[in-house]
Amino acid sequence: MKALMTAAALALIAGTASAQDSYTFRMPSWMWEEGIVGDWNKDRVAAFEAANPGITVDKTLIPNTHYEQTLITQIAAGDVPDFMPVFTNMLAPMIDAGILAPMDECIESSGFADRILPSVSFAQVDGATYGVPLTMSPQSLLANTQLLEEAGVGIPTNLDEFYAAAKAVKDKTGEFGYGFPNDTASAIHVYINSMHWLIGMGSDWSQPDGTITANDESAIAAVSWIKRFLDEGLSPKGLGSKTVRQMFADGKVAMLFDGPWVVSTVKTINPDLVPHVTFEVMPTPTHAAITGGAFYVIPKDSPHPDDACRMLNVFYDPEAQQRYLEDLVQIPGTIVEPSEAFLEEVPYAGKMAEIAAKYPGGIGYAPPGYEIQAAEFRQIVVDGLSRIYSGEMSVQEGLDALQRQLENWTKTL
Amino acid sequence: MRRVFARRFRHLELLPIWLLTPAAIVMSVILIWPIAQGILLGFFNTRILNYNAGRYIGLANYEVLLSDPFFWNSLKVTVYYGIASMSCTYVLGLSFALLLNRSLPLRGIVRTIFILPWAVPEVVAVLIFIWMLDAQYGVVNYFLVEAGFLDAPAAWLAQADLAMPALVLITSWHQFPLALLILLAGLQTIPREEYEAAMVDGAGAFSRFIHVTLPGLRSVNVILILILILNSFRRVTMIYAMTGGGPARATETLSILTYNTAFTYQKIGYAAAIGTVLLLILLAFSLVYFFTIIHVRRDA
Amino acid sequence: MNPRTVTMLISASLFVLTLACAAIVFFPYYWMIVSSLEATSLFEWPPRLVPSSITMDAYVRIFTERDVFTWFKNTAFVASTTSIFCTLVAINGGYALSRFRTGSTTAFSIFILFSQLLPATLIVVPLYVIFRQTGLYNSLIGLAIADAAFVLPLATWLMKGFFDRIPVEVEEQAMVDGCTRLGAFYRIVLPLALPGLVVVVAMSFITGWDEFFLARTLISSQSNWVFSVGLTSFETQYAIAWDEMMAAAVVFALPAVLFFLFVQRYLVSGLTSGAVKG
Repeated sequence: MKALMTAAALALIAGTASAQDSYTFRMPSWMWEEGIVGDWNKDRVAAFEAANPGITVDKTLIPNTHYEQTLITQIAAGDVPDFMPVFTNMLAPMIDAGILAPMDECIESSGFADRILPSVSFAQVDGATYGVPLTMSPQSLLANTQLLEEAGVGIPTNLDEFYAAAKAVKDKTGEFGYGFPNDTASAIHVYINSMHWLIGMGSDWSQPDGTITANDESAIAAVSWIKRFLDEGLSPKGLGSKTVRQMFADGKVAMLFDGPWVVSTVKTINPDLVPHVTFEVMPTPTHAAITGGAFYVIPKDSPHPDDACRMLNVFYDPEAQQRYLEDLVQIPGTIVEPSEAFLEEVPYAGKMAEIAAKYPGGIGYAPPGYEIQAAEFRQIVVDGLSRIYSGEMSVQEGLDALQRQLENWTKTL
Repeated sequence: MRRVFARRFRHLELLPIWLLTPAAIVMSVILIWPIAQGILLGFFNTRILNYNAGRYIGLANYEVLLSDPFFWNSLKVTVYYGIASMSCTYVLGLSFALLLNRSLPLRGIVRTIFILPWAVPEVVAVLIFIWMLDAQYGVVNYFLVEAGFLDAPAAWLAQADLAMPALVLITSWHQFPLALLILLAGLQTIPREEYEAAMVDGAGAFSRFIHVTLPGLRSVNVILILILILNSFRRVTMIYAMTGGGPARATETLSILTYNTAFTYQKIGYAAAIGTVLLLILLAFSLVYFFTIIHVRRDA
Repeated sequence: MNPRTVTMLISASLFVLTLACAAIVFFPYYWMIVSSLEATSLFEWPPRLVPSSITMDAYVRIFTERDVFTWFKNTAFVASTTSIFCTLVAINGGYALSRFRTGSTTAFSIFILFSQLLPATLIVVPLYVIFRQTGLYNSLIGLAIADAAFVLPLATWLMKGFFDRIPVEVEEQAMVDGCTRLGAFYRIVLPLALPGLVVVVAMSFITGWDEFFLARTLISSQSNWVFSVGLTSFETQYAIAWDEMMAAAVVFALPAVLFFLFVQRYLVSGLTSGAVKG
C-alpha cells in the first residue's frame, strides 16, 4: 500500500510525464452496457485514450445489481481502481471511511469549477470535496398521457386530482393508475417511494438533529395515503421497481414517480409510447422531487489520481455534457443550457430542468442525520412498511412499532 | 480384514499422507485459512471499507449480538427454514422414490423428469420461481385462484407469512432430486424377503412401510437429513436472489444476516461474529446429532 | 372385484399420480420456455398457458446484445477444470481414507466434516485477499480451484464410500501378481470404482457450471465472466425484461440439463452402489 502511495505521489509530481508511460487505467462502472448511456461513456473513454496515447482504459463492467458489494469487496482487499462512479447512496459511508481523495485541487486546476451542479455540496465534508456529480436527475411524476386521455383526465397537479386520475384509469381502461415498488426485496426503491410521499407532505423519517419522526401526523397521513392505492387495487401489488418500469413502458401503468431515465427504457422497449410520456411536477403539496443520481470519485489509494482528474475533464467536456442532456435526456453533473431544438423535440425537458432547479429534495436517499448508516435505517423502515402494506398491521400500529424500532436502533450507534 | 491389511503395510504409512496432501493443501488455502481469518475478524470493529483499520475490541461484537433483536429473529428464521425445507425435501424425495421403486410404464422418462431440477442452476431456478410467483401476472396465482384456493392473487414475495413457504417450495423443488436418488438407492438395498415375510404375517401396505421400509432406510436417512439441514443453514445465493431476507426479515436466515451486515451495512467485523456463531451452532448440532445416533445405534 | 382387478386399479391410479407429479415438477421448465417464446406482452391476466404466437426475438436479442458465446466458453472451461481437478484430488484422498487407519486419515476425516459447516459469507473477503496475493484473482483457473475446494470434501467422502465397497483382496491379488501399491490402485481398483467416479465428476461439473457467489467475487473482467454472472447483467439499472431473462435462463440451463441426461444412468447406478453405506 505504501509503495502504491509513493508511486501515486511521484506520479503527481511528475505530472504529465506519467501520461507517456503505457499502463492500464482502471475504471469499473455499471453503465458500460446500458444502451445509449453505455455508448456515451465508451465514447468519452475513447476520447481519453486518444488524448493520452499509451493509456488503455480497463472498462470493467460490474452489473448494477451487485455494484456496491463487488466494489467494496475489491477496495477492502486493497484492490483500488483509478477512478469510478458511485451511486449517491454509497458516498457518505465512503467519505466517512476516509477512502476517497479530496478533489479540490483537481477542481481548481480544471476548467469546470464554475459549472459543477450545486448538489456537489452533498460530497463536501469539512471544506473538502470528495466527489463531483455525474448525474443529478430529479424523480418526479411520469405519466402516460394516452391512458390519462382514455380515462378522460388531465395531468394531476394535487393530491385529489392524482387519486381521481388513478381511479379513472382503473375504472375506464382497466390498467393500473399508479405503479410503485412495494416488493420489499430491494429496500432502497421502496424507501425512495416512501420519501416521495413523506417529503411531499412536508415530513421525513427523521429530522436533521437525529430525531425519529416515523409516527408523527404527516408520516401517518403519507403512509395511509400510499396504502389506499394498494387496498383499492389502483396499484399493482408486490412488484419491484424494475417490473413497474417495464409495465409503464408496456402501457400497463399510467403514472409512476421515477427519474427521466424511464424514458430511455420506454424508448428501448416500446418506442411508440415515447411521444405520450410526459415528465411533470410532483402532485404533492411540497412538489419535492427526490434526487438520486451518481457521483464521480477518485479513491485515496488510486494509483493514478492525476490521470483520474484528466479523465474527469474528458467526462465534463462541455460538448459531451450537452449530449448527456440532449441524447440521454438526463441532467448531467455540470450546468448545461438546453438548445432550442432540444426543447422543441423533447417537450418535457424544460420542465425537468425546472423541477431540478426548483424542487430538489432528499438527495442521496438518506434520512437526515443518518447519512452514514442510511442502509440500516432504510432496511428498518422498509421492514415496517412491508408489515403495513401486507395488512399485517394497521398504519398506526405499524408506524408506532417502527418508531420504537428506529429509536432502539439509534441507541446502538 | 481391512485392519489386518493396514497392519501389514505399516511401513507404507507415508502413502496416505502423500495421497491426502493435495486435498489438504487445497482445502487449507481455500477454506481453512480464510475461515480462521474470518473468525479472528469477529473480535475487531472492522468496517469493510477500511478493512485493515479495524480495532481489537475483544468480545464486544458478541455482547451486542446477544441483545440484537435481528440476530434472534434470524436464529428463529434459520431453524424454521432448516426444518421446513428439510422435511419438504425429504417427503417429496421419499414419495417419489416410492413411486419410482415400482415397475412402471415410462419409468425412465419419469425418473429423468424427477432428477432434472437438480441440473438447473440456482440462479435460473430463482428467476423462474420469481416470475411464476409474480404477484400480478404469476401463473401460480392463476392456478390457485382458478382452483379456488385463493380469492385473489397473493403477493408471495412481499408478504411476511407467504415468503417463507414460497422459499421452502423452491428449495424443495431444487434439491429433492438428491434426496430422491439417495433414498431410491436405499430402498433398493432392502431385501425383498423382508417385505415377503411381513406380507406373510398379514401386514398391510402402511404397516410394511412403517416396519420394513423406514427402518431399512435408517442409515441413509442419517446422512441425508444432516446434508439437507447443513445445506439449508448455509444457503446464500438462492435466498438472497429470491427475497434478500425480506419482507420484514421473514426470510433473513443467519447466512443472509451475515451477508447483509457485511456488505449492505458494511460492518464486516460484526458480520464475522454472526458467521462465527452460525459456525458454532452447526458444529454443536453436528456433534449432538452424531452422538445421539451412535447412542441410539448402540441401544438398538 | 377380484384381487387381480384391485391390484390393477391400484397400479393404474399410482401411474396417473406419478404422471401428475412429473407434470408439476416439469411445469417450471415449461413456463420458462413458454415465457421466452411469447411474442406479445407477458404482462397479461390471465396468463396465457399456451403462447398466442411464438417468436425467437428474445433469443436473437440476447445473442446479439451480449457476449453469450464467451460466457459459454468460460463456463465450460471452469466446469470441466473444476471437475477434472476435483476428481483427481478426491480419488487419491478417498482411497487413503478408505484403505488406511492412521492419525493422518482420522485428522483428515474431521477436517472434511468441519469444512462442511463453513458459511460462505464468512470466507469471501479473506479468500479475495488470498486470490489477489497469489495472482489467482480474475483467472478462470483460480475460480475452478475455488469451486473444486468447495465440492472436494463431499467428493472425497463419496469416493471413500465407493472404495469401501471394493474388497481389499482385489489389490492384494494384484500386488501378489507384481503390481506396486499405487499401480494396483490406479490400474485395478479405480476402474472398478467407475460408477462412483461418474458421480463425482458429474457433481463437480454441475457445481462449476452453476456457481454464482464465488464467480461474482473472484472474477472481474467481462471477458472472464461465466454464465451465472452474465445472466444477472440482463437486469439493467432500469428495467427487467422477463422474456430476455427467460431466454437466457433456457440457454444457460440447457447444457447442464443435457449433461445430466447423458450421465443420469450412471448417476443412478453410482449413487445406488455408493451412497447407501454413507
